[in-house]
Amino acid sequence: MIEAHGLRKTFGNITAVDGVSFIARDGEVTGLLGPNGAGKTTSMRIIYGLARPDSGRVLIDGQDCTTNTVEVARRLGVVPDTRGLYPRLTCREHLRYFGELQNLGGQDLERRMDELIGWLEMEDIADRRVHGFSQGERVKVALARALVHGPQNILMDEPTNGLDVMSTRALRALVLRLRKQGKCILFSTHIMQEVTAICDRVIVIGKGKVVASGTTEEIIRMTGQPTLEDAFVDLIGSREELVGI
Amino acid sequence: MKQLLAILRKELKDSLRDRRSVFAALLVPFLIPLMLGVVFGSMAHDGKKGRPLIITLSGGERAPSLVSFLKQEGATIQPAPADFEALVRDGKLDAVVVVPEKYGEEFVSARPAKLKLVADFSRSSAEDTILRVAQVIGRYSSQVSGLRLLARGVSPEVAQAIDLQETDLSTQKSRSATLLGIIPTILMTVILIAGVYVAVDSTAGERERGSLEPLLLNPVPRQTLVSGKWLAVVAFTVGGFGLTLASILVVLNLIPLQNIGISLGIGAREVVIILLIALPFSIFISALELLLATFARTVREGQTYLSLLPLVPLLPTMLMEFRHVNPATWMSAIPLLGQQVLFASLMRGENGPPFGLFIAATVSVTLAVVCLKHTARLLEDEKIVLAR
Repeated sequence: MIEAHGLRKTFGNITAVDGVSFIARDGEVTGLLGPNGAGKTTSMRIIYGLARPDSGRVLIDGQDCTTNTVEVARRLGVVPDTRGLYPRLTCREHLRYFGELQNLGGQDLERRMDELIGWLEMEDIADRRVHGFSQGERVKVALARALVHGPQNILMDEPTNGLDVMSTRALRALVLRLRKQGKCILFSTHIMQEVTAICDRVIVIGKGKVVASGTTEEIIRMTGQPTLEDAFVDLIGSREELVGI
Repeated sequence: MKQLLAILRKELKDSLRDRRSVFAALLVPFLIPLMLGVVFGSMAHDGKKGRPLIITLSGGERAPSLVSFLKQEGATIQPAPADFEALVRDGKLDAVVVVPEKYGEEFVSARPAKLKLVADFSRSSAEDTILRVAQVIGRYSSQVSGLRLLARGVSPEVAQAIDLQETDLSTQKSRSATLLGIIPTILMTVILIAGVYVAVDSTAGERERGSLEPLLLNPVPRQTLVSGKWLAVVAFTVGGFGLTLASILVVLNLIPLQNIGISLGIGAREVVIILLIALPFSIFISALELLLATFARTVREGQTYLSLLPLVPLLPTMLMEFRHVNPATWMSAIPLLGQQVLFASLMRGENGPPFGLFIAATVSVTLAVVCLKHTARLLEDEKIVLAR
């Protein structure tokens, strides 16, 4: 479970995150929905502990992010917006490296790697060097790498960016599988269909603030709009801000 | 510890697959000794001062006292073959001394006895032999004339207006130092080059690729992370250095250095001292490279910073050359300068003070720790971690 309480973060004069609070529960998929520049990535970075908030705090399964970093790192699996792969390593070497950094090893790690490679249907690319992988293949490697230590909480920053239909479907299938396992999944996106397809709960962010949260139906009902997209536009305030979505 | 090894293993594997990293580490070991071989090889070929003088004599039986004088001077006498003129013309013989029929007659009657020196004076490779033959015969001539003056009651010193005394202060080792003085520079350069790409790729490269962010999300202390990366840089630096040293030793052993009057003097003891100078220095340079490259956002930026490093040792070298600063023990405390002073005194064959070695090593190791600590601190800074 991920709890964010009153997160605030400024860069100079710009307030990127302005009092963001929400809860992402186990066994649910929570979507962080917002236009570009709304503060999604900064919020995510505060949650996974690489950016320090000016105020507010984050609890991961009840553990404070800033004090219990090692324990928090074990409980988190993150796919950052930059996939950040090593072009000269193979997919399997990525998984092994991060597994070892999570203090795994031996047969357990190898079994876990095979399992993830099977889930993500990447047997054919598992022993190829990452250099030259397609966008979809890269996301799969980044995802498998984030899951290698079996974290309870999974954060994904715009995971479907640049993916084709087949990769998107594979990703969704994995997310649903993780939900079934009782994991807490938080992912940021600016794509409505994404939210309607797999999210149990939506947190709408605009200009660094949480403007609405609840199930898709609750948000639509709250705004009195016919679709989630209309509700989103209504919540964010102006159509201009949606340019580029 | 397991994490440290995992990081080291990954960085080594990654770097060994990187053509630039391997190239940087191998460039100097293979290029420089090759150049060294060419330079020294040609010098050894040209210079023949150290070779025994062989004098080819035609009609030597007509001048027995000359022959015995030449032998006393250490020359080896060989009789000239019949076709010696053709051999000289073809460059197969450097010079031939011909004793004419009338030599004995002229010598006994104390007239200038004629000797003929047959050689190709335009051939530079024969120059040395010609000069030495002329000198040794000149010495014989003045000895005989001195005796003749004495027999007539005149001091031979009257006939000698000037006595030019040459004092050669260069010992063989200090002569070698001038020529072999470039070896420390080569060794310093390889230490400053060999690990650069590994350092840049594992820091600025991680930032550029965006892989630093996921990497730092693992439950690994920053200090462990930095240490693992540092060990990989050290491995490349020391590897490049070791290969360079080994290939220099091999190349210098293949060249007949005694021909240019150089005694190499790099034995087991010297190798140990070289390692004692170089290893702590490599440890420091690797840490420094890691620190500097962490400031860079991209590989290219990092390369720009680190490409300046090999220029730094030129500074003290130039200072020493132009200002004629004498090396002192306190200089060992200054990185780069200290290593150069220690190397230079080793190459001159002096017994470097173990104190200097100790100071230099202590300073290097201390600075390495400072650099690593600071690098780890930089990786806590979100401006470094998140800004790309």
